[in-house]
Amino acid sequence: MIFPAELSFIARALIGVVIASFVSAAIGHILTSRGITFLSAEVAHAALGGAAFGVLLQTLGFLWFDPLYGAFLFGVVSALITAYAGLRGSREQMEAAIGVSLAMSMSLAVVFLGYIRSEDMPKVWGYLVGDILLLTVDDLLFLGSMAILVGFFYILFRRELIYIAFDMESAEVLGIKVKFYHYLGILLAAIGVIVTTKALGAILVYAFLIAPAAAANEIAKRMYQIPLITLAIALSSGIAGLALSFTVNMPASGTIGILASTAYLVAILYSRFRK
Amino acid sequence: MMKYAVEVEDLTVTYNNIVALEDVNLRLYDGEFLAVMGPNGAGKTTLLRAILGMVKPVKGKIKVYGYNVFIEEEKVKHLIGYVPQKVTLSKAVRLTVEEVVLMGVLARKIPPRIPSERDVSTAMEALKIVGLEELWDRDFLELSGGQQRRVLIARALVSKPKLLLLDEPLTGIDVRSQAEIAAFLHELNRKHRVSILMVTHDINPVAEYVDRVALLFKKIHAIGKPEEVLREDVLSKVYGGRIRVFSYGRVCFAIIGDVHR
Repeated sequence: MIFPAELSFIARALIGVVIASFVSAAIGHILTSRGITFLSAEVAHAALGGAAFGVLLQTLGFLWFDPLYGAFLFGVVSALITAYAGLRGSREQMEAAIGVSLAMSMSLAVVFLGYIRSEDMPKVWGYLVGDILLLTVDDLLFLGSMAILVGFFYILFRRELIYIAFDMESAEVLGIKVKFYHYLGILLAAIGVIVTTKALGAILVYAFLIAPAAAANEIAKRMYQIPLITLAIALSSGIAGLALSFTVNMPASGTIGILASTAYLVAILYSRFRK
Repeated sequence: MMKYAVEVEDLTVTYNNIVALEDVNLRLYDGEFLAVMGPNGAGKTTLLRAILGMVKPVKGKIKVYGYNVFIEEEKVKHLIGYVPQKVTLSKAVRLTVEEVVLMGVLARKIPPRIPSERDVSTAMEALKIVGLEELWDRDFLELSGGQQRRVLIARALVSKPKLLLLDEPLTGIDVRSQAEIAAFLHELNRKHRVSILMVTHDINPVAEYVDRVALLFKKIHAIGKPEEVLREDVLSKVYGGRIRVFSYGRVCFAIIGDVHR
């Protein structure tokens, strides 16, 4: 066993924040480069709808169907629909697909919630607001293994993912399989978002996965600096958010979200001042 | 030695049953500088995309240095350098000039495509050819339009292509930069023996440098030396009556009531 089962909830939260920060460094860079940051909100809400679907199935007797399966199913399908809509590199088409998928996911979530028993509701709401302080050791193992998977593919293919974001047409001419990397990038982003949604909640996911990368985009001078700066911002706002929440008794997820978003505002000011 | 850099035979391309190109025949000689001009919607970009093998035609053949672009894709890709329209580039990606030029080298390697010292020096050499080596560390998006085009040309040159395809390389940049790039392309063609096919809606900046001009609107309406094509009676076939042609020395300039966005 890597983690002792008796790890304190504070230690588990801290480990969760560290893992989510690594996911943020990879996913944030992909999504900000493609200009489709709202994909994280779309997938997070699709995961919420999927979790509601999973809870409903459990209510109906399918106890083997973990809500996480539903979150993965809905999140990945929703992301792939967006990827298909933007196959020719059109950000506008992807944005429309993101909006429609988000509306669809939330509508399905509302419908499923209508059939879920009130005592099962917290399982679903966890996906909406999240609670980093309730992470279990199993959650951390799952989050960690998925983060390694996402990180591995990001490190291996980051140039391809950035090249197709910058100039898809020339990338194709240069021999890069743009369709493959287009789907791969969005699939990696979807997996990253789904696993962090379980830890942070759909609302905080956007702040934590996107704000640090957007801030890094303002500060970085070279491409390789972006994921490193993103990691630094995500780690510092995550750890500081946890510490602050304990000190002044604020909800941890919300505090982390406020700090990550503030980092972006500071980065914009810094960037403008520097120019 | 191969006589033709590009051979386009009876090329017909349609999009959703709308004809973009119809029975286009075109040959670019090895070492030639050819400008394909035409108004918006003439099929200029489609022609380039077809030569690049990115658009499947309904009919016709395309060869680059004797290789069929739809069958021998890999061989063709190593022969071509491509400069896209600036509007296709994303403003959301922050890359330095070095990283943009290196893309031309690293895209041909296998993942994770880590640049070697040789790759970096190759990229620097290409940047020197376009005269922008001092901008090596600069943010690509912060450069002027003309500088960005030259960096994109450097990226295309980094693999030492025999054929350079350019899509509207002079659009959206100031007159001085247009003149500099046109003169640079001429030098590249003459000094480095790179065959050049550029599509443009504005022929004037390159009129004195090109060997031949092709007039395209769905099909090739005229092709020949600039003074043979840049004539009011020829251009009016495609542009209607909104044409005036002036001569300055031995060079012809066309005043066309065409707006390209």
